[in-house]
Amino acid sequence: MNVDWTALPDIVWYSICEYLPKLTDILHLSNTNHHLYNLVENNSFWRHLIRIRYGSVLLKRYCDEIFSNKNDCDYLCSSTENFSEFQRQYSQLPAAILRNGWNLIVTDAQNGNMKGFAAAKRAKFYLPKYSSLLKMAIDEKTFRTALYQQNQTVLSKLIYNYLSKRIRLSFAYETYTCFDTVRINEEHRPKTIADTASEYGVIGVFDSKWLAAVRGEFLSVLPGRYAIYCRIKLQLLRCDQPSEEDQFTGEFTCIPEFGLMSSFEWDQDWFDLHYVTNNTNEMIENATCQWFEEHMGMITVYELSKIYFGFRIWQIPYRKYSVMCDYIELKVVE
Amino acid sequence: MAGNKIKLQSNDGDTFDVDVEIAKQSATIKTMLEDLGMSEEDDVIPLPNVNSAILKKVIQWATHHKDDPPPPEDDENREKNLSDISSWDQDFLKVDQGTLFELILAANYLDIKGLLDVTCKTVANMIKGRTPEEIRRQFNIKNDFTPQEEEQIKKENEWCEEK
Repeated sequence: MNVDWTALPDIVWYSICEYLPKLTDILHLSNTNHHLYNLVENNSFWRHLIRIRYGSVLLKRYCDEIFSNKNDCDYLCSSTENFSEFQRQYSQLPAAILRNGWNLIVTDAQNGNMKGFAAAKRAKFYLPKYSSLLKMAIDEKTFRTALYQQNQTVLSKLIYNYLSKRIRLSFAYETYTCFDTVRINEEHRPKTIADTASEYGVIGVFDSKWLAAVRGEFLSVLPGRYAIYCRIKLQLLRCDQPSEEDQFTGEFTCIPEFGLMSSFEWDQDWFDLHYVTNNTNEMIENATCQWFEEHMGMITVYELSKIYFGFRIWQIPYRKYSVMCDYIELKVVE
Repeated sequence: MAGNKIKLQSNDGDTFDVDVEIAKQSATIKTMLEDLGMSEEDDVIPLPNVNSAILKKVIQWATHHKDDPPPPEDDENREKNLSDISSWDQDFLKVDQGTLFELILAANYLDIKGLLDVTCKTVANMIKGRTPEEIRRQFNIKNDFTPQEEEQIKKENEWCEEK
């Protein structure tokens, strides 16, 4: 029996493509002939897939709202006047703050990154005040050029691609250590070790004596709500009698260029609890420590942004855990 | 409830006695029964788009799946899992391409969500990881692009090809 598969109703092809999670598979199908090409290279096709896979809230946000919303630059604190004001504030910072202020380190303002300083100021002091007046917005041209350099492609296909791609960075390759030196540059990567359980093959290890910290940034992140996740593994190195002086704490901070930041702190119990729940056999600690994905807070992004993040850990008076980090990921949420 | 049967008639004239509850997995038949008040035993429901061989397969599938929980109304945000075709369904769908094609059309026409899902998954698995040329061969699709058009399309998609 000779079957003409292209004669299937469009809606059936839509259903088939719901089961093709890889964009390349859908594109390969569309590249077989004209009929399937026209079916796929179509707004309603991609809108259907976005709705099925990501729900109607995100469909509405990413296919309609963000491109029609506009923000007042007074609320966004993005005017040249705002920037001059931030520059003035920066020039008046005491040296100690400039050297040690965590948000300044996270945003690389420590090294003179004024955009990072402005981001930290906005995310901490200004935008929370105006959050009810701000919307998630981007214009189509900016979106097309900043993310894809694509002017012809169907808009919702680009959106689908954005939503389906992992927004993920490797701690081993895409973060910098802080605190070892005041000036940070390309050469300052965290200590790394090979790990086959990581898709990067290499992971970052936090094992500075008392204080370990790294920072990094995501480029060109679309407006949205994002949950932050890190893949972490803990290895117990040494365990003494607990004392009053002990300080095993950590902090994770995420600062969008135009948005609301998040800061997540944890204490000694966090380490112990995560160590215990992710390590099945206490007898052979080294062999059994497991990876876990930890939720590190939420950020809101109003306009196309760079996202700065920083992660620091204190272990005083001795190094109790070796903290190994695989990746950091931003997940779009409703 | 048990024993309550209706008659389904294929487009080549055969009729099949089917439990109402089994037949109702087809939203099309369910609507006919409920909206049109077709509940009398003598009523025959004609299915002009389905032939006997396929209708027999559809009834076989629906009988096996009669106790499945109803599919969720809300279709959104569903994690589409490609590997979750049950082994019974996998065996059931070891058929030639013509039959698979007809089953999809029947599932679509009769609006049997579970059967449509599993047949679409099967087709999707035949597409996964293949090049356009391999997909054409698999489904006997005629390449009606000119070489220039093909080149053009390849260029268009360069930005999203994974490494």
